[in-house]
Amino acid sequence: MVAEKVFTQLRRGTLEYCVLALLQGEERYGFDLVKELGEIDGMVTTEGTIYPLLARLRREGLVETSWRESESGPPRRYYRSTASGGQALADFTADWERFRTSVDAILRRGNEGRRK
Amino acid sequence: MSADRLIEAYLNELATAAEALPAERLTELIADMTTHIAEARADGATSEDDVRAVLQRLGDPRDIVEAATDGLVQVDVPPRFRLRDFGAVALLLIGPFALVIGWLAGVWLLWTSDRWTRGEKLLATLGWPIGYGVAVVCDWTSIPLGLTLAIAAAITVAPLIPLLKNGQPGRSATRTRLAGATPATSSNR
Repeated sequence: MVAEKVFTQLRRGTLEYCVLALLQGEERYGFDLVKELGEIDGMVTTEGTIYPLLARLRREGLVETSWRESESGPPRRYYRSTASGGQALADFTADWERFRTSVDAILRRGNEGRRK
Repeated sequence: MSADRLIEAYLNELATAAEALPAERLTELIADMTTHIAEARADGATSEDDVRAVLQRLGDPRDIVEAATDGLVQVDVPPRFRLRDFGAVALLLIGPFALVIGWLAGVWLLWTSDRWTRGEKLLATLGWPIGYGVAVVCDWTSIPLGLTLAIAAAITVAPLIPLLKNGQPGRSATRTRLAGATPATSSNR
């Protein structure tokens, strides 16, 4: 990747909303969530940081958790988005779309100028 | 089993890096990581190489702790009130008038404390003997008794003032920890 630093920043800013998005209308336990995010290209570089992120979302009331037994191993903590988590995601999505449109427009202008 | 040792080393490294976190966050973080690793092994990561890859994907413990530090600020733990340090100063001051052993106890408390620098300790130790010596010398001369006592008292007490004033926080007392319950705020909400 060209600008690894920039993408680290972008990832840092957007990851929590990607996590929230995966928890809409669906419960997941930590390992399952980390695995799913890990399969998306360029989304997560340090899987371990997802757990502190989930803890923060819980402290902020954006996700809630419940413990459940599993057949294969230790009890699992399931995460689910709360109503305010859904609202935060909706707000971010609107802001993100506006932001993305602006960046795309500027990048396009730059690339057209470069070809002249 | 070597895979177990890898995991143990990783979790130890994480616990060390997370030492400054509030107890609740530390416990939760270690529990989350332990569970994740157990799930990964149940999911098929059985060989040593598999486990190594799982740990590598989890990432550097320091990065994980940094993520868990969110919303916390580093604070210096204030030096604790320590009776023994005040005892040292008190005994150095009044010990000689009671019994010499009181003064010796003060000197012992002084030198075994980590609250002061070596220079301060030396001055405080020499203060009383020198003050006493000066008083004896003055007694031979024609200096009035009142003035002799004032000079001796000044020499005795002066070195104790920096002890009280500059009392550095004990090395064992200066620790930093992470604290603060202020939740991180986001401009998107």
